[in-house]
Amino acid sequence: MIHVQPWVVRTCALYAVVRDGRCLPDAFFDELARDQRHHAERLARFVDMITKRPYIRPALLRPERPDLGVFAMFNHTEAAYPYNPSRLLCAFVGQSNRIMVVGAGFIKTQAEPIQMNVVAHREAMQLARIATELSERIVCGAIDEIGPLLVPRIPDALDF
Amino acid sequence: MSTLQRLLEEQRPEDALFQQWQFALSNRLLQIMEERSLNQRDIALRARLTPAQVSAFMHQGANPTLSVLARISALLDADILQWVDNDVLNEQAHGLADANDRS
Repeated sequence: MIHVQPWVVRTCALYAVVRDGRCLPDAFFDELARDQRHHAERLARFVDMITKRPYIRPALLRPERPDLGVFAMFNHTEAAYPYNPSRLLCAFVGQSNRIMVVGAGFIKTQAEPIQMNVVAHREAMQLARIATELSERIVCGAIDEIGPLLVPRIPDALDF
Repeated sequence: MSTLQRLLEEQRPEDALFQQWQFALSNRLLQIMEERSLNQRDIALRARLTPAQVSAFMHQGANPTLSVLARISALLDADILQWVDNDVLNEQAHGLADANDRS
């Protein structure tokens, strides 16, 4: 069972994928906070900051599977932390660049593209399907996009 | 409290401010690129930066010296320091409003 629920909603909004009762981005932050505290803090701050802007610039995100419209939130390297492995998968919903749906995260190794990471690749594909379907439901009127809010007109409009 | 909220509250204030500056700098450089139809290579040429430096700016990985910031401001005719400062102040005000909403 998969549904999408509001995660961080401000000027821009991030909606989280919840699968079998498990909020995927929250689960990733829990994991990252245990093992890579510094990166978890930086990623959390990034999430905080992008939602306070008038819109989300795609150039701030890493194109993880650009052919599918799937990006990753991440922070670039720093001198003290030469490689930042945390990637939180996300995709735009609708046409406004103000709403994203956020899925699972993964820890990337330096040499490995996402296509080589079976689990991360599967998550990216699923996220792309959810984002496409959400956008189609907006177009067909099952979901209204009102500012950063996704308002379902029918009860199951955020279920997949 | 969610892990996300806990991480934000427990991040050291100097780390948070540093990251806010980096983020504001990225956004402002991207804004300049959009408004003036420049790409990263153009920015590098005009501000005499390396492509790697511009890429780091774009992805919030830069820790530029004052001389680099002065070069960007002068050669791109952009009051970068003031813009970044204003953006961070606005964002912090936004954060306070959020905190008041929660209390």
